[in-house]
Amino acid sequence: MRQAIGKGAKTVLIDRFAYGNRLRHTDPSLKTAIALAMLILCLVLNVPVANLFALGWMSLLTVSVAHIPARVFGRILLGESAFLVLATVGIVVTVSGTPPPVETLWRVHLGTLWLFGTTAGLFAAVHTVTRAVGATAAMNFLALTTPLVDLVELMRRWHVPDALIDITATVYRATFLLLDNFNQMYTAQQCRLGYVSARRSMHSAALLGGNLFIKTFQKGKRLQLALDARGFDGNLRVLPTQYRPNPALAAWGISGVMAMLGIWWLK
Amino acid sequence: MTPLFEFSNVWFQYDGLSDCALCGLTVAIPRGEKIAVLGRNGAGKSTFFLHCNGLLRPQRGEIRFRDEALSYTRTDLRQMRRQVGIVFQNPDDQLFSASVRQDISFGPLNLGLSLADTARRVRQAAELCGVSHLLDRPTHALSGGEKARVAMAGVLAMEPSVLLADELMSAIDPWARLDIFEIFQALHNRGTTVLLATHDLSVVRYWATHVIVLQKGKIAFSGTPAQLLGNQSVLETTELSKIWWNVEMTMEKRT
Repeated sequence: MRQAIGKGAKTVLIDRFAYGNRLRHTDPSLKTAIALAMLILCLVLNVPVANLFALGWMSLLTVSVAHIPARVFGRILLGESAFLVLATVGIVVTVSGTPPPVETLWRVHLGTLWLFGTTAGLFAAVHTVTRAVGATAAMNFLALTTPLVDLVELMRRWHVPDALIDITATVYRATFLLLDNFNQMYTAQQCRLGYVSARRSMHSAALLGGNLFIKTFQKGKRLQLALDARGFDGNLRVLPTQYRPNPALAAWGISGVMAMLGIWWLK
Repeated sequence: MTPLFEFSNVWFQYDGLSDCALCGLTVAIPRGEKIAVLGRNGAGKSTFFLHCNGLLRPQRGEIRFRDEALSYTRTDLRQMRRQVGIVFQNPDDQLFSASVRQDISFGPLNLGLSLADTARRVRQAAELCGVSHLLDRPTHALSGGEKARVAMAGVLAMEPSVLLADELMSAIDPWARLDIFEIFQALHNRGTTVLLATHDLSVVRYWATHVIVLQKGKIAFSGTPAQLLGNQSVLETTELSKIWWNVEMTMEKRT
């Protein structure tokens, strides 16, 4: 339960910085292009040094250019890295019922099982981790500097089907309503000792889940009425946003891409 | 002058409920007035408003708007909603868009206005409601009072000639209420008819020019504030005397 609240807090935190950073009014297509270019290069080139460069470059852009506090950027990246570390354990550690081949980096014999690691496994893990961290840093740059409103706007410019855009925008808004509802109900339960023991916690969490669904459904119905009252005809039409050009950021982006390609070519 | 709305013996019952929400409601709503709609919770105020906007359709009876029977075809409803705006009790039920500017622009764009005209209407409505500085903010990052004013701007951007505000004041602080009343006054000065559902009797005394009291889905009173407050028997039958005494006491203490 606490984890769920933590996730909600992180969503709000990311959103707050997305609206309050130095690149807020920069055209989202430029920010998306830089983030996607770095992401694709990390995935395609698969050079650990280049991946680490991408991590450093995107961190620099996020912290120095967009003025997102390094602590926030680091905290978010650290949270994501925890998942990554768990995923790479399977690559580094091999479990086998038979004795491992002669050349292993390390080996442990546990009853009938053998745990061991190979050089190839270690290299694969390094590649995977650096690639994922570089790509994640690129996406974090986008998430922390670009509010979803701008990404929705970008989708509209790229002629993504209206239905998909409307669903994205509505889910985004509903996420915050859901979090509000969740926090209110959770606090109300906590005030009445709803989470005083493991047994009570299970019971309260089940009640919260059920009621949250009902409340959200009712809210959806009221939202529909409000939309109808303002002439809703199936399309959520809204004004497009005006953005400022940012040649400096474009130069940063191009330099980063060139540097990545340079590292790959040198290798 | 013909009334703005005329409800004649209107009945409505929600699915799954045994009692009717509107039980033979008959009333005429005058034009260009500041109208307070009073009644206890469940008296039928919200249902009455939803009928005024064509969001609910009477199961029996007839509603006339500007001397014409309401038609529920898509074109006629669109035409009517252009003229009758409704602001809901909880602004969170109304704000759907991620940013304030986009939310306010939703109504005018649905009216078929151009982007330039919509942008102008958004600016004007935001200025009237005092939310110009919030236009680029996300809707979820607003305070309760700001949300109420943005919700109102979203409706006023459609430039309705009738504004229905459904217990808008119940969730906001007294300072935000004063702001809202200033907006209502500005609208009234332009000739907009404003209907406000409320539990606050001081609204009747100091703001309204016409009062409607609903009780169990029927009209218990319709007239001027002076007629209501000077009529002890109506105050007794509508149970308003209980709260009216409190309002008087508070006002006396202040003076």
